[in-house]
Amino acid sequence: MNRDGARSSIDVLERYSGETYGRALLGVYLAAPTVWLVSMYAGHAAAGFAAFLVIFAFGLAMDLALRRSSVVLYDERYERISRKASDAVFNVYGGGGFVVFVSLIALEFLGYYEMTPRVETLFLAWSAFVLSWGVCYTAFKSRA
Amino acid sequence: MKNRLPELREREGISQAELAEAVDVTRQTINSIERERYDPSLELAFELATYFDATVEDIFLYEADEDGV
Repeated sequence: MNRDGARSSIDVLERYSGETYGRALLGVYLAAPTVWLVSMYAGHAAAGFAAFLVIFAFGLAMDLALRRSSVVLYDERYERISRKASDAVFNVYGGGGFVVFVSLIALEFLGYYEMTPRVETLFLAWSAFVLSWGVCYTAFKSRA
Repeated sequence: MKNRLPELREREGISQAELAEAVDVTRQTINSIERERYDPSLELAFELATYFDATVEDIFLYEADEDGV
């Protein structure tokens, strides 16, 4: 696509507001896993995964094109909301996991419970998740 | 945080969308500030003040909490 072509594509994009695109993009990004999950339960996992890839790629292309335009899609309020959401998820999984796993380990020491391989895997995954947070936190703190 | 954004915007005769475009944020952000649901960053507060040719204190009214914090 030549420069004029690229410019006219961006002009087309700028016909609508970031608000309109924000809602549309959210819909596309949420539709992708929804279609996959529904297809999986309907017994069409492969087709569902293919649909997920197509819908997600479409959303990603739209997202990247919008970022090149002057349409404001992501601003400081979006970033603050995202940070809050990340904090909430970390607190739920990090804090919830801590309570659950420490309780299970305590019960195991007391002889009331024995961890299955699946629970051990979950414990390792949770530990990796929390440690990743710790590494990121330390890296950001050293620069702050 | 209480603010005079709706009043200043009406005085200028511009919409939320137009103000949002002028300061590079979304319309929802301007709407949230006006409804006192979102406190803007210092940078955005200055952007708004510059746009209206006012000071940050002219637009945003800081009220200390009851415990003085």
